[in-house]
Amino acid sequence: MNSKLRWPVLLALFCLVLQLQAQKITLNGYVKDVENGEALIGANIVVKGTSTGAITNTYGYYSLSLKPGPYTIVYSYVGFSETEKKVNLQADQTHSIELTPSAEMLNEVVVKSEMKNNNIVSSKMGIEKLDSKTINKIPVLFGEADVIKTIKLLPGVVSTGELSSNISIRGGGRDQNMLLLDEATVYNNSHLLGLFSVFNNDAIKNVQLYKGIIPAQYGGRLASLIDVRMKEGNTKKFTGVGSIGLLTSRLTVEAPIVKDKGAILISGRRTYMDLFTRAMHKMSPERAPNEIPLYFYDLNAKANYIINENNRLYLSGYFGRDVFNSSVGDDASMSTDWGNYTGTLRWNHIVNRKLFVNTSLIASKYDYSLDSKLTLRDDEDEVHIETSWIAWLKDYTLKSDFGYFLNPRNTIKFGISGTYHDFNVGDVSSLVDTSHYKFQIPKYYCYEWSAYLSNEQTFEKFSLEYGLRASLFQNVGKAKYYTLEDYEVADTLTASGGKVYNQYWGLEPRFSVSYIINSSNSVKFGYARTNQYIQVASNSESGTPIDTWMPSSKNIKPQISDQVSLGYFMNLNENSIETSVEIYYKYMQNQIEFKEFAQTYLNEFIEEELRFGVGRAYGVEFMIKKQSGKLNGWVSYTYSRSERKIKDIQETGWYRSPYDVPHNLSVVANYDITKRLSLSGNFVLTSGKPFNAPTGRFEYGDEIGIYYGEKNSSRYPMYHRLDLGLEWKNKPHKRYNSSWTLSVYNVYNRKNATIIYFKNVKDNQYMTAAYRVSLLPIIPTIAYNFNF
Amino acid sequence: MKYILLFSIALTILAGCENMEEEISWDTKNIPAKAVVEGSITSDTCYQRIRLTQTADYFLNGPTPRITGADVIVSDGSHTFIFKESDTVPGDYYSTEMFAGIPGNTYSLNVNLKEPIDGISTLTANDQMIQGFIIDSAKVYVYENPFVAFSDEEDKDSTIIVFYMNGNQPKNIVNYYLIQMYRNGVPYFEKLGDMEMMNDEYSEDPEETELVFYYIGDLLVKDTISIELTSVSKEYYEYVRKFKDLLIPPDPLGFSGPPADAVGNINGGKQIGFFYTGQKSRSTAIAQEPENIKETVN
Repeated sequence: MNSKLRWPVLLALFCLVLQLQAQKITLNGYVKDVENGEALIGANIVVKGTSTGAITNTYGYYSLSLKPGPYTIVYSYVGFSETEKKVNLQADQTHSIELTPSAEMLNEVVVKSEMKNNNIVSSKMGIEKLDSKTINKIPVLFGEADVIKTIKLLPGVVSTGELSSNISIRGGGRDQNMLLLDEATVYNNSHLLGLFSVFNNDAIKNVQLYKGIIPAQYGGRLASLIDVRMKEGNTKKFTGVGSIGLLTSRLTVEAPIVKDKGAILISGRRTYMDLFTRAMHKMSPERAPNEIPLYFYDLNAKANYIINENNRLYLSGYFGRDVFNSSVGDDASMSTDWGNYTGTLRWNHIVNRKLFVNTSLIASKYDYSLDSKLTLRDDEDEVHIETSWIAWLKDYTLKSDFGYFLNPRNTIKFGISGTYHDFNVGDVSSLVDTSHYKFQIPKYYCYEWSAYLSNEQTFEKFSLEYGLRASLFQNVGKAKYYTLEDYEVADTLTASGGKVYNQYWGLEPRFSVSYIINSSNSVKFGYARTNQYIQVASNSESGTPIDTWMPSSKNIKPQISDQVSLGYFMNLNENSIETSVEIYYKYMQNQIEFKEFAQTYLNEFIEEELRFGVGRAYGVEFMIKKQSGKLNGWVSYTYSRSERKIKDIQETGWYRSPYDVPHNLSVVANYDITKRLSLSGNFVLTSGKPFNAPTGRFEYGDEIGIYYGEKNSSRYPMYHRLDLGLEWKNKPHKRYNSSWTLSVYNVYNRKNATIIYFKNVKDNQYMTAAYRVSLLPIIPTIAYNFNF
Repeated sequence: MKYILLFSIALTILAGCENMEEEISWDTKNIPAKAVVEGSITSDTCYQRIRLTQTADYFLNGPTPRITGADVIVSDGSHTFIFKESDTVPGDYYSTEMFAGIPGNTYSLNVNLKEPIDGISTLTANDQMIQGFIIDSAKVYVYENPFVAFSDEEDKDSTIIVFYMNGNQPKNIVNYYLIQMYRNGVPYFEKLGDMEMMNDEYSEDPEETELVFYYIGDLLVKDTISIELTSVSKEYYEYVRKFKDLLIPPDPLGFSGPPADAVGNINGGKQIGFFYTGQKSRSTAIAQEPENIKETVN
């Protein structure tokens, strides 16, 4: 082509493309539940007879650009009846739709016709979705439906301890999972030392678990993202749901602020075993010598309001507390409490029909305190001593996330985020009569910034998601910090307020592709790099209420993970049965482990206790899931390995990480016997976790010492357990519905080892023995549930 | 339905109170035996002792094998002390002459084994004797323990004693001590795991003329209490701290970190045990009731 003509021709072609684009008409709106006005996330909007369509975002919003003309648009969502709407697109239009829950959930023919093959077509992999109805059906400990305990039944997920709410995902550490509740980070997800998680299922709408190929929108943790979304509240009418159980009771109420425009939701619960045991102890101290002065309570609240068709506001919060109180007369008392606070203010704004933005202002805090009071007396005088130990981690975040629905085949997402972290690791003060004493671990302050750009693109046979996340981490003053040489403090320095004295940054590419063999089969591949800048400062594998977190620093480099995954996905029986097999390999840099006998509490120079190395994890996950019909549930099996190599922990190379659990089988089944009676059960079978068991004994100082040898070279016995649940719905009443739930945890009373340890037998200098502690035997529970 | 609820409550509480700990059988992995050294040089003038044993299967349920026929010497750079195996207690080697360790000196142990153990024929270690607190006088006060109700063994934790020691120690260094007590002439702590430890890292006495030791036990007013301070190196102090940690069963909720080997100073930590030096000081006092609670606490 003549060089003089090249540029004008290109410009003309560009204008033509723009013109062609400009000729597209945009149809947008929201998809909601007709009964309560809840936004439906991931609902399908498809042009009938084609594969052209869109999916609603986290707020139930969709945007679909089409050429002018008449169409029949089909709106669908699992568990809801399809709705068709005829439109004649000559100008941009807004159509918001409310779908009706399918009354005939037991009618497999009806439900099957609604099943979509999103899991085949979407490029997303390593993702699991749960809704509160599914979580409610799983029989769990004490009958309390629990998000985390349900997640433990998914492939690639192992528990760090039977009593623990902490989990390891694809061989990652328990602090490598990002837990979000309405976008706010939850740092400690345990109540009652791990018996319950902090997530009240009655307040939850749905949960998405990303196991490694995390979208570019998210970051900050290596192993997973657990995105928990609260319900928005019923915009139609006043409703409530509650339960009275043996250990806990809970109540959730929802009501419109203005009908169809705004709603409020409040959900609370409390345990009361402490009230029982205190009353029994007072009535009969001989028969009931033990009080259990430990309880928790929590509250979820949310309000949302539609200001106009382009603007919506949401305000949500969580407040939870665990409390332990004990006293001896008036002279001595100890108390400790810990808990999370979160608050999220979000503004949804439709800039134009194709551009949707959510801006969030988020605050979260995890804190704990230990207090003691003591009075010492003699004949003449008395002295009062009070001691207090507090610690916290606070986050403040401002972020904006944009979704640009370029066309049916391209959805561009981009955004920015800034978080301010405030670490108070330990602040101890004592008042002895009138004298004050104080010990403060220096506080840390950090900024964590990120920006991302990604695109979800679909072709006839492929769908892709690709993006890049950039992250920047800064340690800022006012701070006292130190440098190490050979793990000992070499220099201590100070930074003035606001001064950046250390920073790290990284690029985190994310990529996944699905090759669609046909409507029922696809092959997927994914790669993701993730950086993590904060980590838990504890060597407990299960997690404790007094765990603190610590940031990257001059001595702690960011952790980095690179993961690749390959999967085959196949649906059967008109998409009512989903099957998948995924293999993955993950390599992790700058992995952190505490040295043996590390001093982790109130240690001003805790970084001296750290050792660094690499980790790797790999495995294969199988899943078969049936989501509809009288019998539904899933079977998952995972074979996986997780190892670390940290020279100063073990000289001989790779060793098993605490999360190395090769075999992990879960079977979850629900059967609706009749409309009013349903039976559910789950069976889990896992390899025992690795641990240090003695390989020899020696004598020293008239004691029998234990020789362990290679780290984590032994394994607990296999863990297995069966739980069953029965739900009986009472006849519907005019004003309310009710049901009884009977659950049995650990039906055949398997004595799974909570811990195995070794020690001398009493009264025999040389005799040693192994002991097993099993804390959770067969536990039946009954609860009365109601809704109005 | 009411009776089902009450029955379930009772069953749940009973299930919660069930004894959940039991002894189990366990197969240990067999590993080759390793040499173990337990040796010390103290400031007491005596026949100093080095004990040599071997590791054995964890469930041996008997004394571990002794190492006999070894050549054992200790030197301080200018003197060499030869150790001879006891005729009555195999594996115990005593110095052929009585001597006292001198603070400031570094003592080196060298052991040549008659037969290699796990491929090792020579065991070496060294430790410097640290000058510690010399006690001139002491007072002991006994208080009732207000937190005794929280204890698992109330009869053994009924009192708190406060031991005030006057004397002097080197300034501007952190000292580490193992503490043995004698009650009416009888050793109070029978084994290493029972012994108390303290250091003066956070002492508020700039002149370093006073040391205070607290202990929760069952000592009573009018008991004659002797305290024996052994000043040890920081390395040995850490070894004993870790060794004592390992004797405590882990908590069942998994809150504690994983157990591991306490690394000593034999062959740079590659073999088991510790060769340490200790400078001793002793004092005796009769336990009294507190004179004035405010003064005592302050």
